[in-house]
Amino acid sequence: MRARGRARFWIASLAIFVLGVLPLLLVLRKALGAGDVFTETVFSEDALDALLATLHLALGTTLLALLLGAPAAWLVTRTDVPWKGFFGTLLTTPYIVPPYIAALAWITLADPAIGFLNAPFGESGPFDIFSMNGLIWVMGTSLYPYVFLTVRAALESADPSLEDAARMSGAGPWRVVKDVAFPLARPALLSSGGLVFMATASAFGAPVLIGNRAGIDFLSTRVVDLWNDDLQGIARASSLACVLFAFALVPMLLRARHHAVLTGKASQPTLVRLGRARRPMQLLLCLLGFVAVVLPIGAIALTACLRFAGDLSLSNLTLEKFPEVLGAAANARALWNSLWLAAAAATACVALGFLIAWLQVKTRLRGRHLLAGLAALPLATPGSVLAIGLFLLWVSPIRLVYTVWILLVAYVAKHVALAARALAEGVGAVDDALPDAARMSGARGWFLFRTVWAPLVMPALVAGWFLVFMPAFSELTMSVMLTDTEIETIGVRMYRMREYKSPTQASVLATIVLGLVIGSNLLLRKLSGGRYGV
Amino acid sequence: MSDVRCEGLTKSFDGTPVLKGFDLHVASGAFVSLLGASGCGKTTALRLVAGLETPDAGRITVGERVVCDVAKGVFVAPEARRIGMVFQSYAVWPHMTVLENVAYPLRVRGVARAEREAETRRILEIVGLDGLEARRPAQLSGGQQQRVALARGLIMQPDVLLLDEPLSNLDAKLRLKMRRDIRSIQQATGFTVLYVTHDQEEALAISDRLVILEAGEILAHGTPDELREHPFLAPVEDAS
Repeated sequence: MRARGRARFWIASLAIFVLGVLPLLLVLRKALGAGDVFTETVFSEDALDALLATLHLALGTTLLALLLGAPAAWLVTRTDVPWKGFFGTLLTTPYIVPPYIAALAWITLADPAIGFLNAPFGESGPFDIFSMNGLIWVMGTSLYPYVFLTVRAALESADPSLEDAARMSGAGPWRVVKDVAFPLARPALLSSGGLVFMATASAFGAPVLIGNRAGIDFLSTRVVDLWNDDLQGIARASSLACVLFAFALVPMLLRARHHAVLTGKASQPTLVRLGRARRPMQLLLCLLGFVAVVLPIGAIALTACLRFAGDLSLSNLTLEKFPEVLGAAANARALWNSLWLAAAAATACVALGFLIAWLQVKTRLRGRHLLAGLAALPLATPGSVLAIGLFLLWVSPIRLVYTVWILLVAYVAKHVALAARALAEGVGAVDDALPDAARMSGARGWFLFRTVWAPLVMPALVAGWFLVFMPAFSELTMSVMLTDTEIETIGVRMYRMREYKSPTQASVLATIVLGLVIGSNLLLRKLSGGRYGV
Repeated sequence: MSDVRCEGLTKSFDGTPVLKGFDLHVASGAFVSLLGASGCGKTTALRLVAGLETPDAGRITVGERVVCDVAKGVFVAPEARRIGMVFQSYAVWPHMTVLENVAYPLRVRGVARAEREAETRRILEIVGLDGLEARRPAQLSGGQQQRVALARGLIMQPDVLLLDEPLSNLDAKLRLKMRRDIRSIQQATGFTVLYVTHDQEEALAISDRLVILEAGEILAHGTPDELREHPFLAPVEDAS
């Protein structure tokens, strides 16, 4: 048994090494081997500007996300604000909407010349999305669910009598927030803020769509620019990619000190009675939901349903654009590519993820935690950096670049940790005696997996599958970098359409993506009884 | 000193009745235990007196003061009731030191730092924690955390102290010692105690009076001597 576990450990380790670790090492080698090109690139004025812009964007977004997410999480867990379940669902929706689609939406809404929100103001309206603040707004309203979900989970798992004890000590509701709830939530605030920082620094789609017209370069967009450049492009892009990589990983090093939370029996927390503030707070949450969810998604869907752009009258509404757009061979092919690639990647991730989860949870092999950690490395790596590494690895002698197969490899590498995480939870919940009993009955290998493991961890398998399918389906950065115009995915198609100024078609595709992703999430919640999905 | 009077307290959670017309009078300076199996409503009764839950009907009076009267729409917030409470999970704040935990009720009331610390040290000595002021809760044993919670409940010299299964997470030997300590502090200070427990031996040993609760209703009440032979107490012992 021990020996068989070891063989599987080496198989999984080899897979993770080739998928995620080796590409990153290749980027590093390329950058360090570039000599003068490296110093020239990294210490150029362009790079410095991009670094500062990225810092500005990431800090601004983190601040906005904390300001939106944390109070909302407190309101729905600790107060008597009405419609909690509804807000819980509504406010987490942006989590599954790719930021570049949010950017497309906000461009339709707040383009200074033709945005819906600016329409009432004539020639030039007050909202200009093509600015640093505009981009911070887009990123902040699309990433605050990281904060909301983390803080909500922290508050839900904290022993409510910690707050009750403060009440009994004479502290009023607001004092309790200041003295107890906030300090206890600080680790959650720091870690979710770090995640937002990382996600913002790594993001490519939204920064390029908005930054290009605002005339702002970021590290991620600069890397892709250099990548598309001249002969030395690869060396230059690799050099800057190292900077971006280091930058995005900074928050990981700022590990928050966690309080050893002394839990008691889980009881219902005493809800803060908002009293006269109850309706205003409810309204505020409604406003957040409207601005962050309804408005952008509505704008995309509405644009997709307009016969002539810009005319918002009822008679101009139509569904005829959908068959028209899907009828175009290139669009249909892109949709199909994304669908089957995401499904194949999800299946592969679940298989590899199960192996990693099983090794991590059910064996005592040395290095099993390192394996799980390395599997998560590509997820924390900016897509643009990983794409360069995958290109370097798969250009020769085995040539996968500019074929669909490189995308499959990229999606699996990037997302395998999502499946492994969901499965580690599921596998951990299975009592050792159950598979042991099957083994004593003579079951082994695939038969053991199929008859005992799979049924027992089915919810986690399904969850892991969907958790990979959703982001893989709408992936943009790596897909743009690793394909030429011959092979397109739906994300790439949208991105290129936006460049060629075809907002209606892009909106139709975005609506389809949103429908599929939101539908998948609902299905996942239903299948798992609300345990998975957001 | 204050007595506590509950009249007709009724409480349901999601349509399931937990207390059905709960009447109780705890005389000033008395030590009264609420005894019953889990789910009988004893903790809910305690939390209603504390103000951490609101009853569906009924009235609660502490001393001369009506702190809750559903019919008249009176509800005094828990922080304004001047009632001390010790929680089953201790609820010692992990982000504060022992001193900060115990001094907190005084800090909330704006007591000056020097006075606050002097008073805290005095209380810590009473509960036997002197010397541990700078420790964090994570560095304390269960019994020590329990003493921190007790000290915090005592520091504002409340007229009424509520204890929710305060000893259930301690080992047997420590439980006996803490039981004696709580009783002797109470006898020295004279505050009124409402004590929730599922351990009948503990209830018989520690209280002036016992109230036995079953399915949200009072089954019996009286002194330990009166209730020692009560059928509710005998068979449970056999079953265990």
